[in-house]
Formats: sequence, structure tokens, C-alpha cells
Amino acid sequence: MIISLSILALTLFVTLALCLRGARGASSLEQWSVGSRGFGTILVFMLMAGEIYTTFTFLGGSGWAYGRGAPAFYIIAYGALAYIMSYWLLPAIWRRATEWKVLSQPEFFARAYDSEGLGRVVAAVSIAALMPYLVLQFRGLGLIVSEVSYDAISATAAIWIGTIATVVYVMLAGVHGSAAAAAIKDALVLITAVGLGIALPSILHGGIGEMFTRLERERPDFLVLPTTGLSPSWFASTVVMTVCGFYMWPHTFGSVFTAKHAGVFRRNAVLMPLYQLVLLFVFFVGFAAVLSVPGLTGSDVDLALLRVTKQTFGPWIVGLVGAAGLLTALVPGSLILMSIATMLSRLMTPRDATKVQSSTQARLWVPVLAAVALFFTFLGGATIVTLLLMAYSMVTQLFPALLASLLPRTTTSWGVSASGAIAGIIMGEVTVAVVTLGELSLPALLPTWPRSITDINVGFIALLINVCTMITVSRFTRTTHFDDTRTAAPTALAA
Amino acid sequence: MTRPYRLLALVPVIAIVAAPWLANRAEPRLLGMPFLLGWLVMWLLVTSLVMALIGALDSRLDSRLDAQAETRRDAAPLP
Repeated sequence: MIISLSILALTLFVTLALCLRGARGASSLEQWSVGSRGFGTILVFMLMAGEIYTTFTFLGGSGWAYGRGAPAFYIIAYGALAYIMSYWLLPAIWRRATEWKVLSQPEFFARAYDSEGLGRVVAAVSIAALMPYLVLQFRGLGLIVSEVSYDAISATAAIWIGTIATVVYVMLAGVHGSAAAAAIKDALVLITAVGLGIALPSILHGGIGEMFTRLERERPDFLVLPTTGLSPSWFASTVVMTVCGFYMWPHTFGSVFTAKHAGVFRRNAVLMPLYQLVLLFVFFVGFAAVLSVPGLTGSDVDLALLRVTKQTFGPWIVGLVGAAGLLTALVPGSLILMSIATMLSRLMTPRDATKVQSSTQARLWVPVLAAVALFFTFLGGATIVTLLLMAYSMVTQLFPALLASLLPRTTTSWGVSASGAIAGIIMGEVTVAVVTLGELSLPALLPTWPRSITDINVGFIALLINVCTMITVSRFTRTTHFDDTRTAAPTALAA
Repeated sequence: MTRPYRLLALVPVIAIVAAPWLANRAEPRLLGMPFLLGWLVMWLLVTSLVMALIGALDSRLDSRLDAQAETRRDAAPLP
């Protein structure tokens, strides 16, 4: 316990120290939140990976493989597709964001549609979607520290320590701190995930092939998608829905702005799919745990990785794995905090505020937001997974309006108006909220419909409703107003 | 379509979205993994290759276009 906790404390200390070194000179909001748009391939790559590999992938990925089997593979599938999309999508976003000098996602939408109202709707959606995500990170943090301390530290104390550490370094260091921490986190996650993914199946089952042979014998249907529920149509619709939402998270959208030039994203489109392979090893850990630490159910499946590690290895390894887990919670947590704070301060400060003033205000929001997230974390309840799925379905609704704003407008038929965009987003969100909060299930509502239709992910259905609303409302509210930057660069998306 | 090679990116998209119908089985095993997982991992690697290829072709074309624009500017008579 002493050894594993010391490793955890050392990791936290080194990360904080590195972040504080990166903090010098970050005084304006632009420096604090987007690093003066001067980051190259490696740093942007680190930042983006820093946001994508969260406690949900590290603990949740292995937990899903453990609890559900084959449906967990959707996590590998959507990653690959999201990076293909990024090749065209991110340079287009980056070029406009840089030209317009915007710092956050709501501003981007407001500028693209020349509508403050749309900006406020986007900000509200973003903040509503990010809070449960932040709560999830904090809860993961508590889980990891109390498991690694062999229950010597309570989850509550762990959550407090982690939150305070996050707040301190976000307030001092901003995006530079996150990039430095992301680098340490990536190294640790790579080593521990790949190490565990290879070591656990061979120690416990005599190899990866043997492990799957045993699994197939004992749980014959575990390694293929079921015919109902998490079925093929659920898989495909979830993949499409999550790909659309992938870059709509405000913090991911925000990290696009940190790039020095658009070529950074082209190289990332090659590197990121390889990085996604880490998940394969995370799955191996989950599958190894199925046969070795059976019996975890409900939300306890997220403990599968930590439990099987504790059962197999000594405190040194447990400490290292815990440190990796700690950083997968802290780094995305800090980026989420920072992007909500940036959004709020830009919404609240008057236009004539100086750069230093708005930067100070953004920093002051950080502890307030952390306190709110802590409140929800301690409020507890088993609804966190429901909330996360809802959050993903929520941010995805921003995608159609974003795409429409990027398309070349050589013909007016594509023109989507600000009212159309707002109506589409609201209809999409209402669909998600009604179905998720009302705990409605489509197979129960429409029992006579084929399961291949009723298994479709609700976020995907909301997306369709969103697009139809957006196009219909736009037909009636379209104005002849054209943004000059848009007509000046009709081939921007293709460039 | 000035850059038809970009359509290559559609191949992994189709292979992955249609995977639950094309590849939803455990046998034959690929590198010890169940077929569905092996299929997805294979296409993940192909995705990286395809994006590297498209990226290389794009930057070659871009630099050629840049060079052309330069010569055109040089050749233009001074106002």
C-alpha cells in the first residue's frame, strides 16, 4: 500500500511541477486557452489524445469488454472513422477559427451564422454536456485512488485531493500545463495498457489466442454481437452517432485552435488510428478479467482492470497502473474545466474587456465549476453512465449545423439559416432528453417494429430529426445574407 | 472531382460501418482474436495507411499547384 501510494503521489507531484514550469508567461486568454495557436504536430497530437483517452476508455473500455463483450468493439470502430473525418473537417475549422480569432466553440458558431443567439444555444448545450463528463472524471479518480490504496484512502478524500490538484494547475498553467501532463499520461497509459494487455492473458490463460479459445468455450455468444439489444444496427448507428459527436466536445473543438498550421491535422490523421490500438490491449485486460475475477456487475465492471491487476501483480505495478489511471482522469478533467471556464468568461465579459481581464475571469470560474462538479459527484447515484451516453447524444446534435456552415455555398439550396440551426439543435436535444430522462425504450414503445430499427441508438434518431428540422426551418427563414468569407473561399473544405 | 484518390477513404468507412453484418462472427480467428475484433483492428491499420497515402498525394499536388501559382505570378507583366 505504501509503495503503490508513493508512486501515485510522485506522479502527481512531477506532473504538477512540469505544469507549473509551462505556466510562465501565460497571461492573455489566448495564451492560456489556445497556447497562442503555436503548437506543432506532436503537441496538438498529445492534447487531442489527452482528451480522448479518459477514465472512460481506460476503466470503461476494459469494463465494457468485461461486462458486455463484443459490443465494446464499437470504441475501436468509431475512432478510426473519426480520424478519417478529421483530415477534412479540422483544417476547415482551424482556418476559419484562426481568421476570425475565436477562442471557443460557441463563438465559432456565432460567427459562422452571424447569430449571437446560436452562440448562446451552443454554449448552453456544451456546458450541459460537459458537466456530467467532468463528474465522471472525478468519480473515476476516486475509484482509482481508493482501489490502489487498498482502501486506506476513502473515495471521498481521493476525489477532494484530485479536484484540488486539478484546479491548482488549471488556474496556473492553462493549456501548456495540459500538454505537458498529457505527454506523461500518454507514456504511462501506453506502457501500462500494452504491458497489462500482453502480460495478463499470458500469465492467467497462457496467451491471447488461448484466452479467446477458453472464452469461446465458456461464453459462446460473448465474442459476437447479439441479435437484439446491442445488435448490429445498434453498433452501426452508435458508431455513426459518436463519429459525428467526436469533435463536437467543446474541449476537443478547442484543441483544434492550438495548432500552428493546418498541416498538423493531416499528420494526426495518420498517427491517431495507430494510437487507437492501445484500446485493443485494454480490451484484452477486460477479457482476461472475465475468467479470473468473475462476478462484478452493474457499475462495478469499471473496477475489472484494477481488480485483476491487484490480484495478479505486486504493489509496484498496481502503483504504476494507478498513476496512469490518475492521469487519465486529471488531464481530460483539466481540459474540460478550462474549456467551460473559457466559454463562460467569453459569454460574460463585455466586448471591450482587456485580454488580461478576461483571462483572470476565466481562471476565477475554474474553482466555482469544480465545486459544482464536486457537488454532483457526491450526490452520487448509478445514473452516471446514462448521463454520459446522454451527453454524447447531446453534443452530437451540434454536428449538422457545423457541417452546414463549412459546406461551400455555390448554390442557395444548401443555405442553412441561424434559425434553422437553432431549431434543429433544440429538436435534437429535446428528443435525446425525452427518451433518456423519460427512460423510454424504443423496443417497448414500438413492439411490432423490427428490432433492427428499434435497436438504433437514440442519439442517431435525434440526429435525423435535427437535420430534417434544420432543413425545413431554413427553407422558411432563409435570407439572402451571405458571409463574405464564405463566398471568398468556396473551396476551403476541399483544399 | 479533382482528386479522385481521396475516394479511397470511403473503403475503410464502409468496411467498418458494415462490419456488424460483414464480419459478426468469432471464427476464423485472426491473430488469435475473434474475427469481428480482428476485422476492426485490420481496418484500423488500413485507415492509417490510406490516410498516409492521401496525405502524401495531397501534399505533392499542393506543392505543384503552389509552384505553378508562383511561375504564373512571375510571368505576369508588371502593372
